[in-house]
Amino acid sequence: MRKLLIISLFTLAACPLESEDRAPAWDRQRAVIGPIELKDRVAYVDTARDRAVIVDASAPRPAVRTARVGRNAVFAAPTPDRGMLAVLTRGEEAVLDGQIDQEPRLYLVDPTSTAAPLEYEIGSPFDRLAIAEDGSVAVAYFSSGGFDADTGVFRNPNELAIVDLRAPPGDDNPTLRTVRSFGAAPDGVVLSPPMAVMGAPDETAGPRVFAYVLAPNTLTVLDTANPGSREVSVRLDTAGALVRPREIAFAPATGTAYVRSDNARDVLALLMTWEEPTSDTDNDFQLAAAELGAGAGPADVAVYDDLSGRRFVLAAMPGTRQVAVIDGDTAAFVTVPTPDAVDRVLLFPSGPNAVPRVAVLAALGQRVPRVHMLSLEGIHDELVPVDLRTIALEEPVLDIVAVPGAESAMIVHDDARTVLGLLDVRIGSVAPLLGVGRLDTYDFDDQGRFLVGATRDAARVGFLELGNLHPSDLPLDGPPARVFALTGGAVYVDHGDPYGRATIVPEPGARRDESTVVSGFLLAGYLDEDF
Amino acid sequence: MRALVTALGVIAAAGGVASANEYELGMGMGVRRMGSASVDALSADDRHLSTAVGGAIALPGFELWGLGLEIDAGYEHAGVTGTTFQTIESDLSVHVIRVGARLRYAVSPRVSVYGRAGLDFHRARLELTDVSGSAVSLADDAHGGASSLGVGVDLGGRHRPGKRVTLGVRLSLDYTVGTGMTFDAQPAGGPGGANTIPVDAAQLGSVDISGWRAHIGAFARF
Repeated sequence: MRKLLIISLFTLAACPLESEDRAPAWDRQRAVIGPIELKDRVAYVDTARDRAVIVDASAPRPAVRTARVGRNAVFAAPTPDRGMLAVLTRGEEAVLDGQIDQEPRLYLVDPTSTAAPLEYEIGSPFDRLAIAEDGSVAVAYFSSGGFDADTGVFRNPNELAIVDLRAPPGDDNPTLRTVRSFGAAPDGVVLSPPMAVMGAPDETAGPRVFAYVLAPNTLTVLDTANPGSREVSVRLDTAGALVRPREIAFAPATGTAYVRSDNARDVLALLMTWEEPTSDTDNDFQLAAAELGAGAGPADVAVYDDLSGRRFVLAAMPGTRQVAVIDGDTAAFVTVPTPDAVDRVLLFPSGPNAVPRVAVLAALGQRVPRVHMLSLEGIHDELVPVDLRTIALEEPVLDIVAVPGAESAMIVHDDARTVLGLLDVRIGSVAPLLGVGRLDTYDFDDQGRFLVGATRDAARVGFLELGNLHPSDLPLDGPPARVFALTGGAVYVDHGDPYGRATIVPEPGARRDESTVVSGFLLAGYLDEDF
Repeated sequence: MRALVTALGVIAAAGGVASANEYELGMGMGVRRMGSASVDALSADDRHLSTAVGGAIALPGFELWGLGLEIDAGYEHAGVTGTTFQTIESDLSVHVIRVGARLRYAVSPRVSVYGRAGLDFHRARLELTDVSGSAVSLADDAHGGASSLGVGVDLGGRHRPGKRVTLGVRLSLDYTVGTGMTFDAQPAGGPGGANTIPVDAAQLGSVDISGWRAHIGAFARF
């Protein structure tokens, strides 16, 4: 009887102690996508915890909020105005206990709201996303390396999902399409700003976003407002050589896209003109293609409107050491010989409503110690002589970057990015700047008032007031990985920590005790997670 | 260590007011099963070894329907380690001070059973370390309280005249209901001095160590 009692007690003791398996989700591989700069916030996506984490740097005390997204996030990007975060997830198939059946989805996260993100089922496990400049349309597609064997047996690399971001998700939103292929898979998708169709009779054929699918030897155009209509394919390889479209500049008011391609001799202009559709799947436009006579393979193009609204295309042709200024309406062009093989063109002033007066030309491939400034005023007037000035520098030019909102450009002189220069385009002067280490990460504020930069080897962040070139810096408590100059003036220093660690400086020049280190924000709520 | 000294102090203080042959000192080990979801973030196995020392004193003046009353106190340590998301190594160390009362019934001269009610005070330290070493390790301390109810059986150890010390074996099972212990994502190195940039640590959430606890141990009565 006593033995029985003891055995019973042992049994009783053992029963409730049997371990329960935790959900398999706890053993998933974890990766962090980001940081991604939004207006006054910075976002990350945690692929193991299925959530977007947003650090709000606008408040005196930084705030962290999270938003649920789907399983297996693969890509995240801000909308062009940096107001929203778009996240692509591949979903999951319920094979093991704890897994769920979930379709691939696109999530649209509003970083200022606590509301649940908008979610669109996109049908296939795409891994890249293009978003229109006005945020109205997104196109999800496969990258060349985007096939994950765990997501299926077959993959159609020419499939796209066209998502109307201004309409709720539904059976007809998004629309899945497979674009016509001539044996190649797309390299990328570029969405136009809302473009007019020339000659359209009424509002129904008004401006809309077109998707340009770039593939070797082929450019395909889709009307995203009528995603069921036929696509238009433009063959680029009629001369025999492999032609790869690389860059598209748009003239939305005239319905024109200018395409620069590798191995192409000219800039291709594609003009949209209205035509009466003959069926439901017919387009209400046709494409007229014209080769703008650059005369040699363009390495860089820039598009601008002059004061009278005429559109010009600037094409740099390093092969012939020329720059072509092409009238977008008439295709008439002027070629300007340049001393170097120019492969980078920057226009100043820049901005949505600015009329550029000067083009800064650089030969990055040649690594020569000079840049050139080409006056654009009256360049098509035969009576006005071409004004091309050469600015001699001490060191070769490896890169040149326009400062947003200012008529200046930052010049990088060495591979280590320790020797820099600031070109004042109004005067043509260059102020040298010396860094203590490699400029691994940098950003300009929206108004072009200061440059913020850092090197990963040094635990400090540097500031440069662009008005008077006064440098200052702030010692940090850890090495930086990325810096962002956020809207509102705060400087965000991400330390590249998978648990989340960032230093928020309220403004350039602020002291250490006015700054804040946000620690462990990617693990916020980690212990309360319930898969 | 401080908790251990405190526990022994409680026992010593209790011994000062009791009569002879009614003291108890014991030690043992056991298994805790923290059944709450919060432990999933730390380890795949929700059972964890614990070790304990403690003491008790019988109150000879109390006897009701054949039941004896004892007051006990002790110290217990439990550790939880594991890896989550294949990269986050967790180490939760829990120190527990337990006080309680036992009602004992002698089934036979060598076997007695008891029921126990008690209060626990927890102090825990959580450390999270990245396997690749690319993250600043996080560590934080938290504390909480719990109440427990349990049963146990003692084999041997019953006082016999002429024997100064008797030994016994104890098996016990109890269930603990605790308050969650809330942890923040503080850097493991601490603030690092007065001149460091102020740290705003995110809240990691809370660990609830409620659950079953089985224990086996040896004790001595004198």
